Amino acid sequence: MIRDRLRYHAPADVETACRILGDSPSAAVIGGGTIAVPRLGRGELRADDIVHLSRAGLAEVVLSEGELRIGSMVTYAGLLATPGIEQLNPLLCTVARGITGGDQIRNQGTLGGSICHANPASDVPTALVALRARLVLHSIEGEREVPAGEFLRGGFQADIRPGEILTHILVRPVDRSGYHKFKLSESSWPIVTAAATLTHDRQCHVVLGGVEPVPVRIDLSQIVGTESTIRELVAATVRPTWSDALAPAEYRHLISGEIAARAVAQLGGV
Amino acid sequence: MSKLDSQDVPGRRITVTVNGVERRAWCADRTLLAHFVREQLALPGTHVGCMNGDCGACTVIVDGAIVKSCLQLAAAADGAEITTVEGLGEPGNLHPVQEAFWAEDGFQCGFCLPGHLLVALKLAEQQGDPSEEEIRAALAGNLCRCTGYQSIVAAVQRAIRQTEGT
Amino acid sequence: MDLMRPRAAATESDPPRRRDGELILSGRGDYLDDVRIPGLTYAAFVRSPHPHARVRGFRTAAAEAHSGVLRVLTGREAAERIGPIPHFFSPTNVGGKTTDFECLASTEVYYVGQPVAAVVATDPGDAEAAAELVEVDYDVLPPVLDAHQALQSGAPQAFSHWDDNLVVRVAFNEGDVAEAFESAPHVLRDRVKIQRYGTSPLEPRGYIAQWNPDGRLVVRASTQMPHPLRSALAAMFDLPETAVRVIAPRLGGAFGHKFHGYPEEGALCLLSRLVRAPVKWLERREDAMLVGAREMEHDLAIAFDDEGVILGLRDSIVCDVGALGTSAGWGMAFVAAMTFPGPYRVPAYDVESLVVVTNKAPWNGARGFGKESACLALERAVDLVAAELSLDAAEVRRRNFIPSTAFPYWTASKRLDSGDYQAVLDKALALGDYPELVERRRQARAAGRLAGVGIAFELTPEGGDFPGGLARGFDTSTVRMDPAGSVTVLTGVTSPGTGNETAIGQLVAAELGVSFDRVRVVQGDTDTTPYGFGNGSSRSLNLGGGAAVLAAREVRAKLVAAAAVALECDPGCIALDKDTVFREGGAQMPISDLARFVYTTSIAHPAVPYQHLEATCSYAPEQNLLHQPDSAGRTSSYPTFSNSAHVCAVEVDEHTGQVTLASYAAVDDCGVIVNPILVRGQLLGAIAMGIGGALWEEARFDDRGHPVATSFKNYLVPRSVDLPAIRVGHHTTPSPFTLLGTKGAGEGGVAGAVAAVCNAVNDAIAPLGARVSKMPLSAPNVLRAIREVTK
Repeated sequence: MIRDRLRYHAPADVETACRILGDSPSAAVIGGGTIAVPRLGRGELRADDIVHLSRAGLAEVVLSEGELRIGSMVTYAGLLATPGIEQLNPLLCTVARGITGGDQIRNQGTLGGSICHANPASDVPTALVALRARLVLHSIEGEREVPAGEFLRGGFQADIRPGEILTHILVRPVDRSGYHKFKLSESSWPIVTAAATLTHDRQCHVVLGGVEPVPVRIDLSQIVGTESTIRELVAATVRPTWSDALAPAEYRHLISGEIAARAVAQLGGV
Repeated sequence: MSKLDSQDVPGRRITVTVNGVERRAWCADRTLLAHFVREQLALPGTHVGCMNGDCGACTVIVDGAIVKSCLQLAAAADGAEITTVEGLGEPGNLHPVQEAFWAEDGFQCGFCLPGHLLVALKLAEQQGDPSEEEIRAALAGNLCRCTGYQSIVAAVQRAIRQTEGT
Repeated sequence: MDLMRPRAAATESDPPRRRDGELILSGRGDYLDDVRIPGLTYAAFVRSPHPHARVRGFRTAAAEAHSGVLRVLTGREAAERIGPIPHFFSPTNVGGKTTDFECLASTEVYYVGQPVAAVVATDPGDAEAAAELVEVDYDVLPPVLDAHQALQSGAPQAFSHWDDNLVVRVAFNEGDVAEAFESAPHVLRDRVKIQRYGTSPLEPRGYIAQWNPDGRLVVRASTQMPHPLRSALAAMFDLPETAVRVIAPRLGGAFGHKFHGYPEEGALCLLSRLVRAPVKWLERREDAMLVGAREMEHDLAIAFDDEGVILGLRDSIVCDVGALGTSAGWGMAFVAAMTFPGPYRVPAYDVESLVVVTNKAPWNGARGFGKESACLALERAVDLVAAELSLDAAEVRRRNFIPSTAFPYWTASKRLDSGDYQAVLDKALALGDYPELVERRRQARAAGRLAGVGIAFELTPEGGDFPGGLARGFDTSTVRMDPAGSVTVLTGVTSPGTGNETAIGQLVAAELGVSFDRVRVVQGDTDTTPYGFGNGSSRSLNLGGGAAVLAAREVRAKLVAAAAVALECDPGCIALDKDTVFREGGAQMPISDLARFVYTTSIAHPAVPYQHLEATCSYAPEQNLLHQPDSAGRTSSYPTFSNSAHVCAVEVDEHTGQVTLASYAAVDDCGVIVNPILVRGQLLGAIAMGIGGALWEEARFDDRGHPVATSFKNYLVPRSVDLPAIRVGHHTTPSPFTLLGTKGAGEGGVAGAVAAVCNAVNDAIAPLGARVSKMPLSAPNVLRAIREVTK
């Protein structure tokens, strides 16, 4: 049961949404609702006004000049339904297909909502950092673009200023990618996530999530890739600084090298 | 929920088409779709088990897609087409998917059932021939504490067979 | 003997489907949350944020001023208006101690989440909002959060007015244990820890309390035990029981979670009296996850000879029952110890169970009820013996089983009714392709993978009878036939969604020779059903069904007497079948005509008995409930003993500790089966619950005493993809002591699954020299065990 006597707004465009945000003493933006709505129910998120972006024209994926422009209201299912998306960005497709919670959550949850929630255990932060995605934030003062790696400030902390709305995620393709996540069971949040990328200029990186408060990028370009060196490099680089109800930091750290190696192995012959 | 509430809680009238019938009803802005369907539309077949999007008992179909109705505000459903478990079939005239769950003992207490039925309905409508593994994956958003899922999987398999060609 | 068998056993080949299927399948199940009552108001509870604190006072003005709020009730005020909550079963019945527990704490809180105040509002959201505004002043006291620490001298007191933290020590022993250990060629020890976890039915609890104009209290409750709840509420409010009615609507699962004894039960009734309106409250998922169970640590030793024959057994079980409370949960500590030595013939054993209070939420009953803990410890011990002697794990079990010829078989505290454990195990090994699993394990190991095979045998005492409380081993049913020949069964047992209403209907239909659809089964309403003890301990079919069969036989006798008059023959020539009355070799009439004949012609026709076509009978398997000590001082409070064998295979990921269940098979013996669909469903569900507990489910607390498992995102119950296809089979050894030859189905399977999975995982990591006996076998726990030896 939501305890706040909140008002619901579904503005038809981003400008109106920003205006409502600016006028309200306490407003919350909701996207797919899969995170925010239960938090409202538990009283963890408080609001007088709810700004729902469902009708603000942010549910499209557009390809322009080789860059994917993903609206912040694009659901996992919406992404997967985009023609040609498997070729354009197989990494995001792997992430979307593997989202916990069944088709229902794929139909409701959004990439934008996940990156804004900034849960270190989630898939999306790791994937967007690995893809060097840029996030477009809109407010009445205008628009700014922030790299995903800078947008994530800490566990559950994203760089969204008061009055701002995430409108788009901009992603450029990489040459090859791999993604592996480790969960305790199907119900579990990911414990450690790893996204490996090989760019056209032969830069090879792996980004690890769930080990530190924000995803950690590790440059693998300089090492001749044997599995054991990846494991050792990862173990030596990441610090055990994140834990949640499911697994302690030491455990995440212990398996991080292995999970990274599994993602990198998907790149094939690096 | 109560009538007193409507006087001072922000709310609105919304129109939805539920199980093929257009309905107009008031909802508080803070009302969840699950509670709107259960209380305002008097369709209690949609169950609320966790209020966190985990158990899937509140699954309904909104504009053709299965969703967990505890994760959605009712106000957002204005204009939507909604199918609840009551839209499948009724006593004496069960839907083949419901018949399949009965025949395979695909439920015990029945609390998770609305969600499992609607997921099975979507699978059956796709007219494919999913493997057991694919069926289990399709059920991954729904919890059952009684059956261990085995009879649910069998029920979905039967439902797919029974709806073939329909 | 055959005359005693239920007639329904004949219908096994074509059992009826689950009763009320059409209603449930079409969203018309009428669960508690579906009940519509005009003028409903909603409660929310204010809960302690501290594991241990003294309650200094309350400030309620802000909450009272919140819109929609009708009443704020504090623990202080509640204590003046109602008495303490009666125990489900008091520890004092077994020589332990207890304390008073209040619906809302007035002076001291014992756990995070304990209700201290409540709010009623016209809207549930407003009730939640106002509950936040109730200010409670606490003096924080030191908590004790671990049972071992709680037992040490100088530890903080969980209840500040107690002298220590020990509720009771129970012990069961036989033979000369010291001598057995001294002379044994081999002795091994292990510590086995089973974690705290509950049952999480998908429907949480809920209640609607209202007071009728005539002063009667009517409570709709998602409870497994409506009559004992009525007794408890009547005591709290000092009312005659006739002034209280409890109605349990259809339950969305229970598994022990819906045994009574919760603080909200009385509090809601008081709130309803104060606001003069019906008050509703639904348990939130986080509230449901507060309820604990099973947290036990075994310090175990086993003595055996060179052939793997067990000579002696010692176990000291420390049970962390949280803040005790008034529910049934702590009783699991008693049952865990009593279950020893399981299916095995052990000449000397000494098992003690220490019931220890801590500042965590109390337990309630949980499917398995301590038997899973005993089974896990025993089956680990047997596997240790096998490993030590390099014997096959199945073979060691065969060498120690109580032989099928030895029944009834006495242990210190139970008389096992019947069984053929070796046959059950052999069937399970065949069903699970044991040789094939062993071969695949060999291949996997050769390929460098960690593969394991696990076996477990479970003994499941069922239908317990505990004099001194309202948890008894008998129940009562009424059977009546109306003038149209339809049959109503009113029974004191309830169904949590398992299907006993289907099987009871089946039994009565068969006794009366009427079709299944003609029989209606009514449960869960204290105004209409006989006083009964509800659902638990796999008792419902055995006891409620047994009572219904006895009552149906009385009605049948009246029908036969009347039919002999109507059809002008000797009663011995009358048969009832297919809704029809047959005279041997001649006339027949519909059963409805016979019923009408009885109602319309009795007295007028002197030979037709005028007693109603109705009978009420109670039933208990008295022959095997032995409360007066025999010459050797032994008693037995469980009448029947289901059992099952489990075989599974796992692989363990050496790098992550992740366990994958590759295959699972089990065979149970629950005596005579009335409806194989229902029994199969129970076994599959129990195994799934056992697997969940073995691998994932854990209700952890942080070091400040706050629960960290608050949703299904961090309390991990199995999903469809987590489980393999499970093969199940049955073996039938009728109980000689029950009316129907049944033993009890429902609980059986949980324990064997916990133990089989644990044995398989240990088998998988054994080549590394690793061992894990701290449950659950989650990836972090398994990897820790692996790294202890490989680092």
